[in-house]
Amino acid sequence: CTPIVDNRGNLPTQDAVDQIVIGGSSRADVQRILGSPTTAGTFNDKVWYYISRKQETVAFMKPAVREQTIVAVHFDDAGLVSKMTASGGETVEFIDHTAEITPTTGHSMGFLEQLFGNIGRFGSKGGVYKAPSPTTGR
Amino acid sequence: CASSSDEDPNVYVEAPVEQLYNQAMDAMLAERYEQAGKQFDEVERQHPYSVWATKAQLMSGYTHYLRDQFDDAIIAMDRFIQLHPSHRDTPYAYYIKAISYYAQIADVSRDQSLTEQAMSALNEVVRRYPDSSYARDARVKIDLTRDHMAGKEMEIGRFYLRTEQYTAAVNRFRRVVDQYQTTTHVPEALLRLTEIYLALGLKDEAQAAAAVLGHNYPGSRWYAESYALMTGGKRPMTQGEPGRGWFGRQIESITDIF
Amino acid sequence: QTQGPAAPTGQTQARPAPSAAPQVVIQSIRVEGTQRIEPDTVRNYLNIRLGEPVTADVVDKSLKTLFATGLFADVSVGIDRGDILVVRVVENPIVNRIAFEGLDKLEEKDLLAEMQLRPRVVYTRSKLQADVQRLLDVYRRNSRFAASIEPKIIQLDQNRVDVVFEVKEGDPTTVSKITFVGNKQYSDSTLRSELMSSEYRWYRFWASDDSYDPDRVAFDREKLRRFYLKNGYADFRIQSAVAELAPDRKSFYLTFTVEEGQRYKFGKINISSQLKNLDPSKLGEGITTVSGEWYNNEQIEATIEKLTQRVGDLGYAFVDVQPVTNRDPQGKVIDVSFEVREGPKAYVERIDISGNVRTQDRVLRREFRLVEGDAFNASRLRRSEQRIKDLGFFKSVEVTREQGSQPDQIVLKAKVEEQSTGDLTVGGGFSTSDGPLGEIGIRERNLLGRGQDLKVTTLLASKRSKVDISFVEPYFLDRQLALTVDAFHTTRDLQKYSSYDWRSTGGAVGFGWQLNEDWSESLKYTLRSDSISDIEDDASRYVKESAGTTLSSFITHTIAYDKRDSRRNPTDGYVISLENDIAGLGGDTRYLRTTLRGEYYYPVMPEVVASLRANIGNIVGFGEDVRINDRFYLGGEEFRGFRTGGVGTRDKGSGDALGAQNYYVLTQEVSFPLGLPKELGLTARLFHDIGSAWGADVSGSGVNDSTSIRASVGIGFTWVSPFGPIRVDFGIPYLKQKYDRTQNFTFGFATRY
Repeated sequence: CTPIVDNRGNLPTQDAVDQIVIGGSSRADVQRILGSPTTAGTFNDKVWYYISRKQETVAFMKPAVREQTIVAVHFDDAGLVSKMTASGGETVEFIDHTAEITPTTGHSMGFLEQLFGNIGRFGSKGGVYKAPSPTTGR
Repeated sequence: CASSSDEDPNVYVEAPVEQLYNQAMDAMLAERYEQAGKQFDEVERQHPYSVWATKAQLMSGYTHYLRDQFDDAIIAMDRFIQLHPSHRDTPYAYYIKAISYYAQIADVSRDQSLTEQAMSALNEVVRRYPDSSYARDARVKIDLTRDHMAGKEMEIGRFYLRTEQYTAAVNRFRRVVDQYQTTTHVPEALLRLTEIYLALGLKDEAQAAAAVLGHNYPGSRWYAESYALMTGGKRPMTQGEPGRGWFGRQIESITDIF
Repeated sequence: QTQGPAAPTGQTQARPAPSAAPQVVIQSIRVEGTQRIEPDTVRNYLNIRLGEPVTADVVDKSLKTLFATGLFADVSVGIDRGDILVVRVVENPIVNRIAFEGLDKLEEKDLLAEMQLRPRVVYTRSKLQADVQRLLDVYRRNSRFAASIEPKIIQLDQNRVDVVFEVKEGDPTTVSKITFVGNKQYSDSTLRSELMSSEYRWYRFWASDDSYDPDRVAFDREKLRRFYLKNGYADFRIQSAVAELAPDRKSFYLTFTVEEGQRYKFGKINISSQLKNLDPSKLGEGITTVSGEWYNNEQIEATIEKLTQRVGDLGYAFVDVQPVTNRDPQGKVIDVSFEVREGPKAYVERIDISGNVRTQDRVLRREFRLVEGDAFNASRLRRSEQRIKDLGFFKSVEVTREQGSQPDQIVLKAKVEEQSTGDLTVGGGFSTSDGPLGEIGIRERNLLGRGQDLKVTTLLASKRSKVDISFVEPYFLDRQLALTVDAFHTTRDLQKYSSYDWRSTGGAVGFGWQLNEDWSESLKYTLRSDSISDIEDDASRYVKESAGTTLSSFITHTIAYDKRDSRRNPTDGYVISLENDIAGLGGDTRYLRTTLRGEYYYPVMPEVVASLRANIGNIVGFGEDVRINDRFYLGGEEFRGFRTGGVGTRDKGSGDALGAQNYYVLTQEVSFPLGLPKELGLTARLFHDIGSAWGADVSGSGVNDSTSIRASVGIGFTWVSPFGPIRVDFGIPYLKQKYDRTQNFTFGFATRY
């Protein structure tokens, strides 16, 4: 049975990469030729990453990554391409992501409420805060 | 054609405005909000030109709010604002409208259109009456609403993380770090970025994320987890607690229905 | 009772300021005529600053803003003692009460919801006229074109008014006749069955599609066009679709004038590619557009879809397949060339989901074939939208594209409108095998908005009772893995067939997955306790031997290849499934049961479907005999003409059915409408069943057992009545063993709310 093939992310073609001139192309040039980067450096905006992953999903298995290529485009202070590196999946690590989450409030529907579909209130759990009445001016 | 005598059955007999208004106030203080709401409407209906009518409009909207009928409360307040744009109590009307939206914000896995409406209504209270007591409370609620919006981004990011779609997940967590810097979700977003960059093989990005997490949130458990991730030590969150291994989490995903 | 809207609320135009000198400095503003509204409110809307020169057009502008508020019937301005601006206003009245007279079909609250005017709202004549128009629209939507509405205003004290609408609804305008002009190839009735609208018939009192509705007529034009394009008429054109009011003004005549044109066949079909190093010949395999066949634009669209997907899978992110057709009117042939071209480069920046008030975000997001950051692909987007629709949780699903933050980025916005996914079924009925039956079921297909399916059904019949709880999580661990959990308690009174009562209680946990588009597989573990009791003294000794309670613990593996066009009522294609139960992981029973099922459907003519169904089963015990309640009991609906368990081994003495360890049954059937109009929902079928059931570990002298073929032929009817489906089958066994138990007539009827 043939697996389902998915190509995730943005894989620039080789002849597009060849058009980038080290020390010559600006961010606008790279944007025009290679398209928008998959993501950029979170804390230093001098690097753009073009990440692409070819993954195959068989029946109910998790998608298995067959190929991964990352093209990193580094810019110097003048905003011109200083260096470009391409890497495959060799430094990939298998991470078991922690299931902990930061709690959020928001009215999550109780079981019965769900079935009968009325929507309750946001705000602090337990005793519900009610705004004071307007100046009564009796 | 309908003569006035056989109007809808529960119409109240015409009464002087003060008496009607005071009856309504007593009903409200006795927490009989439904009856109070009806009586305030009667004040306005029978004596639309008395000064009490304006106050009654506001109080009727307020009883809707107390009975969690937020849509009705918002409609009543909008009407008050349209009729009395510069009344002494108009700031209060804006405030009740804002917290009526705020009270309906749904949890992060569901439609957030009310969150956006709450945010814009709260901002309007702060913009129009910056130094009123309502603005002070609105600012607190704005932060909570922003935190909630960050929670929505995290929820979607975690979905892509769980299904190992890292190219999708990375940008959701980056948006939390960039646009929601003051929220409680930033530490976890930084840890997730560390996890993703390692899974993608981008060591230096993972290092940068862990460093920022350590620098800004040194005591947080998220940093301890990312530090262990970077140095290959025992990870408190994932391997720490007993029984929380793979199987424990799967059963939890079913049982947390109830 | 005052006649007509006499309230002095005419919306007169603002009179310009009386001969004010063009440049006047205003020191203060005096407001006159306000009753309910505070003077400050009026000053607030006037944008006149005190102490500064005021020109005529500033005054005029502020008058316009005052009017725009809708609060005032009349506004005028004057100058008093040189520097005091006097603003005289007449307030619009307040609506005190709104009443309707002559309402029958529509309720007051539906109409009120549509209107601007409400109690305690400011009354203006323009709002009144807008509301009258809106109410007429509501009636038109309910196809009441003859409705008329007369508003009456009653003046009250303190500038209040009552608004009364006198409504004459008139009766519904229906479509009495649908005729076609210019249709040479297809008869009026064939074309009529393609349309959504249908002609009014007295006996279809529950039908709603016979009322006249302009949107439905527009939709019918599209359906007609698609029908002809599907059948080779590439030049088809609708000249006009006219609805004229019948002389009695109660119904409409619908007339479609069409121009069929010639019927074309597919000529040369080829695929050309402008993508670098993509060899088009590789793409040709399995394309449904075949030269020589009748032209069919739906096949062209299906081919585009297949090509786009196939090229996409080869790693070409941006694919755009355009069909280029050229017509040869003389040769009545159309050549189609599929050009594979580079599509516009675009990436999915973000997928925003809204409208999911109950459903969780991930339940929708996991159906997307696109993920954020992916190259945008229109066919994947279409498939995603279709998958969300197939969930059945939403009234409407709308996925739109918006420009992202960069020129080559797109934000996908999925807007859904939820519908109720819970249903409560309360049913009653009768079937020959179970007697009168009552059924109550609760089901929630989108439990807690998590996409999970929870169903609780209880059935009570004279011969059978059942309680069944089933839970399905379609994406266990966020994978394409369906987890099913079942718990059941069944009792059956089989005295008539085998002189014992049977009770079975148990539970099962199973996983199901899709190998690809057609192959599906599942693995299930079941733990069940069966008990056989109340055995009559003259029952067969084999029945007496099996008395008591047994525990069965078995694994079921199923694999199926399903190519049918639909699961609910298939008319084309086939399905083959193999099921194996292995009992022996603990428990008292040890056996292997294998069942092979096949169904093949062939649409002989529209609405006439021939089908061939085959079931073959075998059960063999490991180191022990197969117990009586695990064996196969052939008969009833599966083998018409014979009673449940009517075919199989039988105790010579007591005549009790002992079931069989091997069986096969082959059903040939053809179902056809009885020529009556399709809305009656009456279909008939001719069937011919062949089969046999033999072999039981306990076969000895005292047991009749034979492998001879049994056969029956018969006729059956199904009527989908407004109260529920009613099935009747009449079968005559013409080949049987003397000891088989026959039953010529089976009847089943169940109503559902």
